[in-house]
Amino acid sequence: MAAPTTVAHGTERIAQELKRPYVLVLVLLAIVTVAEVQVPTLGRNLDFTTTLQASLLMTSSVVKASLVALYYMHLRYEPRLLSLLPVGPLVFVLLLVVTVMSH
Amino acid sequence: MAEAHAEAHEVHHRSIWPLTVALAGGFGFGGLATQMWPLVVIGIVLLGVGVGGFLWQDARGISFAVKQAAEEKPFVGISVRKLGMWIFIVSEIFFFTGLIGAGLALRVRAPFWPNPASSDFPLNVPLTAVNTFILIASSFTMAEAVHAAHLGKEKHMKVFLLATLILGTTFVSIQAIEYFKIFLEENLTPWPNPIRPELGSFGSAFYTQTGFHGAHVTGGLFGLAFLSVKALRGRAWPSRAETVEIVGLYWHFVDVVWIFLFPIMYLIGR
Amino acid sequence: MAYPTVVKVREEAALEARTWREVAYHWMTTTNHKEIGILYIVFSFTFFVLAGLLAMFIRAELATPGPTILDESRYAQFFSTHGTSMIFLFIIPVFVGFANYFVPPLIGAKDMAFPRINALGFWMLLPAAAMIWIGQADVGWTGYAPLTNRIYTPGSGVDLWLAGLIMVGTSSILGGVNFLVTIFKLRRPGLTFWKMPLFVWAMMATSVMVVMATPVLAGALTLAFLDRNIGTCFFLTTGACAAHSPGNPGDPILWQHLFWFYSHPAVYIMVLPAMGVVNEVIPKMVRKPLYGYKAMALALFGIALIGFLVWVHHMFTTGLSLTARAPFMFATMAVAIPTGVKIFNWLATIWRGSINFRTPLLFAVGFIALFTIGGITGVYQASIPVDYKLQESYWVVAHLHYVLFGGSVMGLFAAAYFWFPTITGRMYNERLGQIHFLATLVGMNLTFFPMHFIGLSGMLRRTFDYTNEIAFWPELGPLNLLSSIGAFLLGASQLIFFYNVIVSRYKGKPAPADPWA
Repeated sequence: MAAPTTVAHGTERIAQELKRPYVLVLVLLAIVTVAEVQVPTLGRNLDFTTTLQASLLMTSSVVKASLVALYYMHLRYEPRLLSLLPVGPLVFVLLLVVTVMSH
Repeated sequence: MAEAHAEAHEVHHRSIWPLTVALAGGFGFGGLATQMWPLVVIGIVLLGVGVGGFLWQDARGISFAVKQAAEEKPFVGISVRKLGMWIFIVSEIFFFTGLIGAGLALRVRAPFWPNPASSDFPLNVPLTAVNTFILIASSFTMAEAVHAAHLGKEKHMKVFLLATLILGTTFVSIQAIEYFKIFLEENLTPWPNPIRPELGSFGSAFYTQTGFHGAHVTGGLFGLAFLSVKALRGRAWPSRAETVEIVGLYWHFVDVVWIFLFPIMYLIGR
Repeated sequence: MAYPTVVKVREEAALEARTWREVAYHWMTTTNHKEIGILYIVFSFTFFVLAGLLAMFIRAELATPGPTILDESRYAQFFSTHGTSMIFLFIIPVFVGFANYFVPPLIGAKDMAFPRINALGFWMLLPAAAMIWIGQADVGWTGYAPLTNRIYTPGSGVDLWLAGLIMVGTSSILGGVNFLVTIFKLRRPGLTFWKMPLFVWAMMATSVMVVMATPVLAGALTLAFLDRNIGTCFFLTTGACAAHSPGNPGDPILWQHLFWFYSHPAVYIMVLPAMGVVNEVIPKMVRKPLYGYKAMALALFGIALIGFLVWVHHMFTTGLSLTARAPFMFATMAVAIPTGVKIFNWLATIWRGSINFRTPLLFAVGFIALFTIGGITGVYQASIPVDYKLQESYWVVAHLHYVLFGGSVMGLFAAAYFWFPTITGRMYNERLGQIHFLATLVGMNLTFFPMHFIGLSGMLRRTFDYTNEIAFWPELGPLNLLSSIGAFLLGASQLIFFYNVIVSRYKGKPAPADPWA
């Protein structure tokens, strides 16, 4: 009984697999990384504060991590609930980091 | 009663390997704690034997996960093993939160933190930027390998698995070379040293975080090596595509950790 | 929510025919969730006895002021190993054991999701326990920095303690992942979340906490281990860290943050399964459906969620800013809301039920009463100004024992009696069970209630000798003696339990199909 659904699910998956923009994601990741590396020098020349540099870099990191999670780890193609598993606990991650940094 | 017995036997295969791996942990950690290095060696050997035993049993059809014919919502279609890996990744997120959070706590309280834009920054940013790209590229090849495995494209899968293995090994090697260089030439040590005393906190944070990340990458390399060897010898099994996918999930996770670690250690200064 | 009335399949005849080698091999290689559950339970109760013996030594020492039977360092080792063992080698694994045995049948699964990982989780506890007991660290169960640094605690005792706890943590994480996957994936078709037994809900909430909190402890232990052995400066402010790296020292408060980020949720990791047990025992024993099923399930997750937002209340006196402390104070007080919902619903379930006053129900009701005391003293202590007075005093010892003995252990005994017929196929001795309950109830209150007053008088926890204090507060003498007498009663009464369990295991009456009819 379970077998046919698994097979259907499998073909559906493969169809999705064909459309996956892996190369595009790689290019985006590379571009963002190149941009990231420029931040310290740019920051010095343009007098960016450390906080601003850190915010820029953390934002770009979140973008990169999301790209990897969504496309390479397939979260975009999985049931929404699966994304909740790694994303939900990030609230506590943030809370812990903010607390140890600010106490 | 005989029926119950037969069913019990079908479900419950015996395994000595859990005990072996646990003993490996005992010898390894016990040896580290008491600084009795022969015990650590025994631990490593037992770990190899135990994990090998697990995989050997797996190859003989005794899966890590129990089989269930029908399932209930909400995770229909996501296999037991894959869900297990995702939840394990959640726990790993928290492990690295502890380590990275500790580094950040040191940073905000340290009177000095090196700036990547200044000439005395101990780390090699360009080299590691290249290395970062190598790890990201290995994530790409891994995704392609998973893709090929699901489509049953044997040759593609082999090529991309090997590519991932090579890129990953390159990453760890470059990291190791950089460790040697900064340790010997830049005097960046995990403990505070008299030559560059201002780097005490930075050294502790840097080596701990990148070290544990490197250890995780190395663990992933063993998984990749296992899959590559199996693929090269032409061994296929029904759930292979899924196994490749699960190793891939772990590999991408390690990549995500590096995506955060790289700017934190190499690009954000003061 | 029908309870699986398991009629025990007897393998005794087959087992008796085997040689001891075959029996040993059988248990060493098992991947059966029930057998692993029994291994967990036997292991945990062994450490209940061992750590309980240490408690007897501690109370014997404190019965009178001045050094009597122990010296200071031995005393420190004993209370440290007592705390570590009771938490990590007894309460946490014993519920994992019961859950191993009962979660799969309750959700209609053949086994846990990963049977061999399940066995690995158990076996890792053995070397871990050996390390903790060989190490005999003397840093308390909290191992506060910088005391754990080699400068202050030379030798390998603390190293073994750290390494042992890393292994316990790994075992917990493996178990947590396993339970979550089992509960998410292996429910029989038709058994939706809202139809699951509440014990399963409790294990789900517990496992969520284990998976998210334990790795942070593992990280913190690792950092402490590196501080000791590599010379990193995470938690150390003195020694080489200060000498070579002026102004760059570590941060002992950081250890407390990381430690309590795990160890406060750990309290709920120990209490939620007990609540789950009480959720199962009470409806069965009062022959009435549970009042407010959904509220109970949500309350379990409410406690788990808020449990992650309160850890700083262990650190109110460390000089954090008020803005950092106040939210944690309110969050701590808010834990009382879902807990109150549960207590109200249990009472509402008992109300006008046809009450079957047998041992499991006695312990379940004992749980409600004693846990309420422990909970209320916790809310009281959550107030920052009050905490300044109570921090590190014997009041805290009283509070935590009301939560962990009055809560977790009473719930555990409820589980042990309630499921004894299912596990062994035999009945325990009801009269001995009731005597055990009475003696435990009296012994427990006699031991721990005076500690509230001892703490309010100003005696600090971990005190070895209170000769100086007694000069100012003469009431410390009789109160401590009373507490020690209670402790010996409590210790002795557990012998009744072990006698009952062991004898009934072999000679008890065969259990009827429904033991609680």
